[in-house]
Amino acid sequence: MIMNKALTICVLLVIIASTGCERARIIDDILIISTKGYDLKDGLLQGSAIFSTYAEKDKQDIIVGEAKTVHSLFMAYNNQTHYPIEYDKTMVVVIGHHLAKKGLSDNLISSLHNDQRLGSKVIVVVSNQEAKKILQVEKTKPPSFLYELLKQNIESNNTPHTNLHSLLYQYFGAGQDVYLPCIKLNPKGLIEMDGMAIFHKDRMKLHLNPLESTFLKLLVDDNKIARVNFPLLVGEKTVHIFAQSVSGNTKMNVKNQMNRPQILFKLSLNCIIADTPLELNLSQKRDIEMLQKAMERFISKGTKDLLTKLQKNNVDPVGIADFVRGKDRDWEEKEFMRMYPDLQFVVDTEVKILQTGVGE
Amino acid sequence: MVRSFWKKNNTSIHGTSSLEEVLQQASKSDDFIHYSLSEHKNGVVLSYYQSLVDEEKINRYVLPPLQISNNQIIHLEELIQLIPIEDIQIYSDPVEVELKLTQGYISVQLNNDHGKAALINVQNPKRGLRTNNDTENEFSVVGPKVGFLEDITTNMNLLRRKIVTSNLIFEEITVGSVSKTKVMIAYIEGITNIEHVNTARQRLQDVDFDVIFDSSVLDQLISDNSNSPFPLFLSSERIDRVVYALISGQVAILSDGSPYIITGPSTIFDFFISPEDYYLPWIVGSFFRLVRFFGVFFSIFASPIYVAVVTFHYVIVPVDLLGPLIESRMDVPFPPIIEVLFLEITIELLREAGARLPTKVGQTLGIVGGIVIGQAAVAAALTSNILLIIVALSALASFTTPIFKMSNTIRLLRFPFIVFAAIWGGLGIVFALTILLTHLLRLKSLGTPYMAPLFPFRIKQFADSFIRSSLSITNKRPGYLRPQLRTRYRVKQGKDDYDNE
Repeated sequence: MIMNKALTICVLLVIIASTGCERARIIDDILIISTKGYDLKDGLLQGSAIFSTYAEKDKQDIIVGEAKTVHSLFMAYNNQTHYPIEYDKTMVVVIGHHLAKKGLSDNLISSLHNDQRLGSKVIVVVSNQEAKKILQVEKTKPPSFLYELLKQNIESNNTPHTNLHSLLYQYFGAGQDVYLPCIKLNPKGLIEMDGMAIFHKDRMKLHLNPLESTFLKLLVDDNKIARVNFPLLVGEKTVHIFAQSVSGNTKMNVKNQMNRPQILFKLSLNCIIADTPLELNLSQKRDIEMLQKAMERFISKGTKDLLTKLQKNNVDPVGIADFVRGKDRDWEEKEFMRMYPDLQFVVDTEVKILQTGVGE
Repeated sequence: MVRSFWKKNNTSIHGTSSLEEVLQQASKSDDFIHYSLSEHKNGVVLSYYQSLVDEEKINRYVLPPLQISNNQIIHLEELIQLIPIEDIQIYSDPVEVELKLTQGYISVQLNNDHGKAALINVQNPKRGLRTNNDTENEFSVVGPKVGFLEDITTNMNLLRRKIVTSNLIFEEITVGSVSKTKVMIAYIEGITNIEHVNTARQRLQDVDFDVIFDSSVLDQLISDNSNSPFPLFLSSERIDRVVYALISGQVAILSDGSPYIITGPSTIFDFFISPEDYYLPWIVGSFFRLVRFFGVFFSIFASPIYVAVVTFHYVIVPVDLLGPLIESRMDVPFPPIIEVLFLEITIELLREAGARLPTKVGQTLGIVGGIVIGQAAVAAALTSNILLIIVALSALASFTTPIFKMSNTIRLLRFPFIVFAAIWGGLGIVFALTILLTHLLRLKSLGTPYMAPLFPFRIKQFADSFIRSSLSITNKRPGYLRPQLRTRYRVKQGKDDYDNE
């Protein structure tokens, strides 16, 4: 009995001690950051953050600070706010153009990596200008606008799936490069998706336009929902077809052909054709087959062009190196990257048209 | 000083030495009647408590034979022959005589024979008692609305009419040094494990208490762990519930003067069972039972989780809910714990006031309290809107528990949870839950595990726990009760064109 009591007291003490670090963060006595932005300004890190004020419905405010390191930014923020800044609920991290080009210095990557208060669902995006400018626009929008915008595009539009988890996996994993979605401010001053940024190590090396990112999505993402608009020659006239891929899969294979490795991609896609032009009679098998062939050609060519472009820039967001590693016991990253420019790509697309003429 | 006073008092109650002293002691009360019919040496002396006896019985059955006999009776034995009442006996033991007198017997003595007295049962047991009980405290829309009364004989009658077998045994035990309450242990021989009966009997015999006000007092006196907020015996005023307990192999304890009958060994699941579950189709019954269990968890955890989330874990709140939550708390000046305790205690006050007031006033109070105070508290920025909803819902949920004692326990449990949540957040809730579960796992009712069939885990007996399965499955008595006969009824194997359950 005495032993039991002693044990109980010990357990209680351990629990009390282990919870000593817990500090109360009462929900209305903190400022909850939803979007963070990072820029490079005069050699210093410029951070900006958006939080909801909740005094008025849907009203948000922005805070800007400069510091040498990521975490000292919060000191700069807290110097300006009446409540402590809490960033556990951050959903989007925007990286400014310059910073991305200069490289996500180890400081930023390591803070993203080590901070257990950031969820792995955080989406990191690159902007085509200062991140602060993007945040200033987002401030005027309803809360979590940017996150919803990105999520919507990843789930049902042309942006390949990324989040903090995939970013860190690609960054630290061998045989692959980081890709992140890009956003821009369009001439009307609104935030818009703008293709993808491809990184080499921690530096942004290449920008892919929206069409190229669509092909990237078809290659790397399990979610094959993507929309393409492609021209088709019917008789003398060029018509535009709008197609949406709804499901499918991508298979990669590696072959050695005359000492030159060949990477085979096989895309099987199920598509829906919307906006049927009058020139085509899609109830006829001949026209359907023609459309199908044209689509297959268009996707194969686009994909191959994309792969070649990536090859030329010596980046590998598709993870070809990683794939080959799974096939080759003696794989070494340096060895493979030496061979990478000489790889030959073969893309074979198979399109199945499920429906035509049905609008969305 | 005080101690010696009590001691003296006690001995005077127990240790009267002679019959004269008994009568003398009784004469101190003005409702004690003591007179002689005649001064003849064969004259008869009558003594009784006027407040206990049925005067009509005396006038009709006791007095006429005595008056007609006209002093011809020499022995009390002759007197017994004359009086047409079955419960009549001669005693010489003064203690026995005192007991009988205080139970409403009339004592008849002969002038020349003071050592003995014939005691005739003329008690009026129905005086001051109600004649029917509509089970309003354990109401069920479907099913009989007959409840037990304060009179134990009626209660036994009600049970006997439902369980028509000579195997239904009632064992009498007198409990209470002052109240001398008649307590009955009821069980069905051949079904109930005799160990349960022995345990109950042993515990009741060991009870040393002065007045048994209600069977709830007995419940606490014979409980396996009196330092638990959980009721270890089911107490019910519904006949169907007690009959079901008996037929499942439990023991029932009836106490005179109490409309509640306690049954045991009980498990925690018994307290969330409503007889209605069995009166509705099993699918519907199961659904409502699940709703009741949900209500229990909601009522215990809703406010603590609110406190934990608002104080520590705002991260788990979905973004869309964050706005409304913060906006509603914006103007509240208190930390969440004070806010919650304020509202919880307000609801407790309303409930307590409603229970103490007459029914009609109680209804008005509910409206005043619920609507006016609730709205005013929000308008005055003392609490937030969302919390008002949470607290009101969890109060509502706690009322779904059919047994009043258990529903009180559940109302109490949330307070330690709230305090732990305020100190340690989610970890505190888990910690409090661990303590609660540890306590529950250690509880026993009449030596049977309280958490059965959850602990010890008996998968086959889940048929009638969280859900109420079809009658064709629940034809066996629960094994943790160790009944002497496992099968309750037989299920017809071949299905006819009607699907008999």
